Amino acid sequence: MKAGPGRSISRNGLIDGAVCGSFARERSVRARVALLGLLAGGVILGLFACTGSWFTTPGNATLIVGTPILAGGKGEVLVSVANMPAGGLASIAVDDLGITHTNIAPASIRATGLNGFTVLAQDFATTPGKGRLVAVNPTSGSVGGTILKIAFNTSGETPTFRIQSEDKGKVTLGSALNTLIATWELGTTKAYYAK
Amino acid sequence: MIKRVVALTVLEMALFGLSLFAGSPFSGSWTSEVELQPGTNAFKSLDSLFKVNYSFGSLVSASDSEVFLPGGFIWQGFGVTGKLGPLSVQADLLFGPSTNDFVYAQEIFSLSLVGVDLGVYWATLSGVVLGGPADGFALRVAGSAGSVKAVSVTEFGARIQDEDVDGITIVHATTGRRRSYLTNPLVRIETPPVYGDGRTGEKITVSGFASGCVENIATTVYLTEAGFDFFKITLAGIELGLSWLEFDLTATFELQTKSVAMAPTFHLGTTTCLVPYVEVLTDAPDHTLYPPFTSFTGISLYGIGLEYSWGGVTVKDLTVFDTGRYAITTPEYGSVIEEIAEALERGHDVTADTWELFSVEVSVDGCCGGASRLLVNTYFQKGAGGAFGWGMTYAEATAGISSGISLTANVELKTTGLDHFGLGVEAAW
Repeated sequence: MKAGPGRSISRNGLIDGAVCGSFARERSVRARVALLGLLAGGVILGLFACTGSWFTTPGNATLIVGTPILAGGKGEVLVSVANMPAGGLASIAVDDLGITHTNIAPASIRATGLNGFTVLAQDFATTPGKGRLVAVNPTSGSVGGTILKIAFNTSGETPTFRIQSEDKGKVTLGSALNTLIATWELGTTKAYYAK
Repeated sequence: MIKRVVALTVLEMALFGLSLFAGSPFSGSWTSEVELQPGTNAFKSLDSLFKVNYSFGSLVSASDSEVFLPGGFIWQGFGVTGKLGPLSVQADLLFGPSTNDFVYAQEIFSLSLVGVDLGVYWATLSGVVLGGPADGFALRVAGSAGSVKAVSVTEFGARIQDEDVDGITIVHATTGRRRSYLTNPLVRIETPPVYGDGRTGEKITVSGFASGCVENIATTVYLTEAGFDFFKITLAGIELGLSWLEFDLTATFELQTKSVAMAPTFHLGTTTCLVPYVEVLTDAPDHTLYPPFTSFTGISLYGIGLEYSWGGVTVKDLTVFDTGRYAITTPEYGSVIEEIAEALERGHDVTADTWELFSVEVSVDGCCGGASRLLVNTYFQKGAGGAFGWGMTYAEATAGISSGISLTANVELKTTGLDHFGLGVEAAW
């Protein structure tokens, strides 16, 4: 008799029964696990193939102004975008009175561009509680991500920093393809965005 | 003073307690950094990431928690990875504790049978995320015959990360903290219904062909529910008979447009520590290969890198000649010269307007089995008011106090003064 897989031969040429049994059990367990895995995979594939259903929501271009994060009399607000079309957002201009803020020291407000954006001009001191700024990304567009950081000193409790949602005419968004992004919305209700 | 001593004692006890898990099925890490207000040293923010893994059989379950103050408890993730017989399993769950929300989940099952890899990717995105709710799945089948490899991805409302598309990154809008995953259920279709049934995309890639002067030829065709999306052919390693020059050529054909990208690779030897950054110039605007391109006009040197290491000390110097198009990535992304547009596309942070980086890194053995490291990066920037154009210095120090515990500190100094000051601790067991 020849020794096959899972069998061993002792010195006298007989098959070692104990070792043979151990191998057999191990093979049996492996085979069961493999079968279980195949079965699970088959069920999953089968279920998916049967249904094939999915769910999606239209993604609108959105400008998101985060809520202020505060510590030690100072605060920061992040401005982000999501689902921007035409190669992404490349410029943003917020006209006078387009930004409103409360309980923030106007002279301390400093907008900084992030992820390729540069702030060309900003003014938060001319009109009390109001502000304006212009920022561009000269090299590419941002389809989704953070574009501006607004840092400030607080002058009272619960400071707010908002871009007015009721008058989008004061906000102009330009795309990386040098076109105006006319259809967009202000994201104020959701804490997260995806890109 | 007493409060500080008590806080330090509690911290030491906690770290010691974590080290007791060594050798058990539990493993993990804790990384925490406190940022202080420059000047006043008042608290500014705390970023704490706590990971715990538990191994059982061939599976590993994981929990990772991120707290960012003053933002709150931002992320709580759970995951399982491992094998069940021939079946590989990966599952991830993401919650937003600060808003008490379920955010995202994905499951990935993969199986190898007689040289064929089968994979199912499923994901769901909660309605609390802008763009959600959404869910979908994708089937991936891959196999090879000799050097030729074929991959088919069938999309049912979800895409999976590959060299053409990213996965999904979910961002907490207030703090900018993010999490990334492989399966993206945000598939944009022409006329989006709320529910869909059936296939939304099919991508087939065949690679591994070689011919004469081309090392690898790969083709990809992608069809969506709207029809043909793109066909791409990549020729990698085109030899021109010049030992120092090679090209990769990628041509992408879309329904109404065609684009060609050409990436030159210069082989300048491995013994030099001087690395030139060069690009090919053409007669087209922006030196692209798009019409009205007719010919190559030259080669442009847009940066030079110098790096040398000896005895645990590494000195690096990068010079950028065209700061309008190129920038140096932050230390987190390797401090290399990268095209700004490409860096943004890849999500790499860069230091804008920097024309020179001088970096010194020292690594030594710390006490008690730990390792210590000091990194000092000095940036010279266009329009900066410092001497010789000095714009910023970033210093980062790590002191290993045991094999699993180290203390960190980092500062950022600009022409306007101290801009960032952080202290942290890293523990792993």
